Amino acid sequence: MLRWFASLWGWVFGAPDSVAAPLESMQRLHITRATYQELHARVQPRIERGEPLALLLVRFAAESRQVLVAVGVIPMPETAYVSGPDGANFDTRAVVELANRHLASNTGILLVHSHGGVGRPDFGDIDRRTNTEIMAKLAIGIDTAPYGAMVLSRDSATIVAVRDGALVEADLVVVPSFGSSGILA
Amino acid sequence: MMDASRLSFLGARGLARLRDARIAVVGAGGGGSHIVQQLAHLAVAHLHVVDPDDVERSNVNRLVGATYHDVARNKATVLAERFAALGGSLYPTVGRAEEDGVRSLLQTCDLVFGAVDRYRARDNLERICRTALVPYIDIGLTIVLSRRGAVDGIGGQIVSSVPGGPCLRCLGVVTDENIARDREGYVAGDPEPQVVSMNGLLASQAVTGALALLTSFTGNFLLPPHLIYDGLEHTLRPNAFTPEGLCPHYPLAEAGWRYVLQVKHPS
Repeated sequence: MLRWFASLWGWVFGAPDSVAAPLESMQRLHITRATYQELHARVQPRIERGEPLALLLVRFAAESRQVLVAVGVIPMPETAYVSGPDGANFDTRAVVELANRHLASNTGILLVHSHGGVGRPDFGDIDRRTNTEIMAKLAIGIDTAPYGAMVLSRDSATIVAVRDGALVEADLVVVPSFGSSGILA
Repeated sequence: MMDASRLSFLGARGLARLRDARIAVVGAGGGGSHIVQQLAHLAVAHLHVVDPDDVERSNVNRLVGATYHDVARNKATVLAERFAALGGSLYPTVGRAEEDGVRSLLQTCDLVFGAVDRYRARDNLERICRTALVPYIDIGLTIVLSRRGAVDGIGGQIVSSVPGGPCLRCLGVVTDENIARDREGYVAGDPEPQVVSMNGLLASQAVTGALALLTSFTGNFLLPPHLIYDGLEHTLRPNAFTPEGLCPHYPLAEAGWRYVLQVKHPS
């Protein structure tokens, strides 16, 4: 309807010389296929670790902070896991230490785990509490590096990252990778 | 709404990807106008056309979609208007890639095409895209004339520059020398020969490459990073000397905004 009205307007009054581009308040995570595959491999359940965690190293693409780029994957250090009632319990000091170590290069962290299955996964209650009480708090006073969390299924992902003090969903964009003989889409 | 019945080979997921895609074409001239036209026919969801320049009379013989009535109007605006009724959404941006707002726009895209005249512009565009892990497809055509005006050579390229893979510098398309030459040519103001048919050939292959990247319609098809066009031999071939291994100019680990905090220690 809006488009019909716009064309009628253009036909009657002439088209405007410049139309504003749709710069929504979107947030996106760009990750190469190779990094995405590595991330999946890191959070697959293993005999010795039922729900492994990984940390995705991310930066903002630019000052606009609309786009996050994934620049590396770190498995949660084995020494950081602690026993507890929930699926994966970890010592937050390990995450804080890693966050501090990477801050000088404007690199932030997304805490990643997998729920398996297919379709769009959702954070559970414990995940949400972790996201709010740990990952979002890492961003306090820091606007040069992104922080948040990501949950994977076999074919999808849900991402939240801190923006203007709140956890906001981000779209996942898996970017083609380069192989030895060419680009694999 | 586009009728996609003849595009079923792209698959349901591929078509959905096109319907959601956000693509920018930087340079709405002889090459870029063909790309814009084809992407508009594919009803790409968000198609951004970026160019600061106006249509000149000398452009019209190769600027697809423009007529002599469009002279002195912005190229991006003319193309967005001309191809607006094909099912997708076109957004003209009157500006250069280096400007803050335009750079941010490009970095939110799934794919960026560059069809620009100057090597420095290519270099900048690729840097903007690599920083944000956005695939960049570059096309260019050069017709070399002898002093007497005879055709000495016709060369062109289609470079699919994806994060980690060879970049325009790895492939020798952009060098410090040709950036410097570029500047000299610009100062001299020589009009560079161009022709609609060859621009169209390069643009068509570039859009086909983009379809492969976005929809994976060829299964495990490997897209060559660098295709070389020889207009005298009528050939389009993969560069046999494409460097193997990861790009040293844009390491993946260095993507993103790496402004380093300046910490001042009290003395």
